[in-house]
Amino acid sequence: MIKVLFFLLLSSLTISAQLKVGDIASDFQLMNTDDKNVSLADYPNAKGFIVVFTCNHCPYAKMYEDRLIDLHKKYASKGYPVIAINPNDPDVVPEDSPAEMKKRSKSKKFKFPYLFDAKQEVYVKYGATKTPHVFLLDKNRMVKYIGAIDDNPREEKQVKEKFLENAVSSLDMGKDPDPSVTKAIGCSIKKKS
Amino acid sequence: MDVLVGMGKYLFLIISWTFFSTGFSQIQEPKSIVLDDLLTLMAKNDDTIRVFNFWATWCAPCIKEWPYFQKLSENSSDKKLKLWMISLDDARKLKSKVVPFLQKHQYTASVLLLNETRPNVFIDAIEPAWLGAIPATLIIYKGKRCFAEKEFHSQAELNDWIENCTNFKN
Repeated sequence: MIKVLFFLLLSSLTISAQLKVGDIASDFQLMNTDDKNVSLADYPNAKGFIVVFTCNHCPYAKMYEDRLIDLHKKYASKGYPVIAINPNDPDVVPEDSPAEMKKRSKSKKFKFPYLFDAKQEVYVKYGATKTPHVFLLDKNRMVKYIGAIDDNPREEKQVKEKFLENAVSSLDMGKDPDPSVTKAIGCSIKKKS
Repeated sequence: MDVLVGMGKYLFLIISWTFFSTGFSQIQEPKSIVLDDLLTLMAKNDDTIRVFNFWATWCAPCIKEWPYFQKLSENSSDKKLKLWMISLDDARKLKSKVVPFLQKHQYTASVLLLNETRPNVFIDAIEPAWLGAIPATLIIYKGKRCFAEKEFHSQAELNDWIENCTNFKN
């Protein structure tokens, strides 16, 4: 009986490793493309954070690159910076190496940090499963929204619902985003084998 | 001389036709479907094991596990199991990406392209447990479902999973 309870406890612990809306996300310290470490604590005046797990190689991540740039442009000054994190193992996908991240950040003129989850720990703590995968946090790192950037990856012009922008607006007005969870197709995160 | 050149051309055509028709068969262009078509396929309730694999030509792990699904389709001609490889490629790339991929590998498994642009709608409609990463594989059998949002690394792993999923006590 005790064994069964212990097993149940263990399995529930494993499940709770994935962040849900309302949970407090942990801070991290990851290397940026300028070789400096970045933490959420480096942003004492932020009202929230648009944490996006993304990468170089994934076609869906690429479709959203320009939209991420626009989001940062629009919301960083309002207190909601984009923090991009590449969770992939470059041994599996060489295109997602720190060197390639530097190139991408430079060529696309990213104004937001593009961090490398070298130990592949942060994405696990957040429960990200794919790229791109968004976690909107408030200033206390409470998760307010998880999921997609909008409802149409392929055709930005045909987007009907800007899920993430709506969520940021809600958060800014002190309201809970609705929907608070959405889904998107993405590339599975490439783990070290 | 002209006659000889002309004959040479015909000979070349005949030889190439023989080569292509024996060693290299034309793959049929997959049909493009919408969500409702897919849900209709999924809703059939009989003794057939229905396997749906969600993939795309741009998805490296999907490409890696394709051979196991191809083998599965070759081994399931008894119709107790039906497999559909549902491509999530951009419908505009059906001819330029999907067909050449199938042609190159001579894959004959049944392929359909899901021409839907709103993942937040179609993902949940297909399978609520699906978080949206591919590859993903869904089995529907006797009204029950089994879902795996992962890559299969061997034929045995895939076969065992299907076996476990379809081995209900009742």
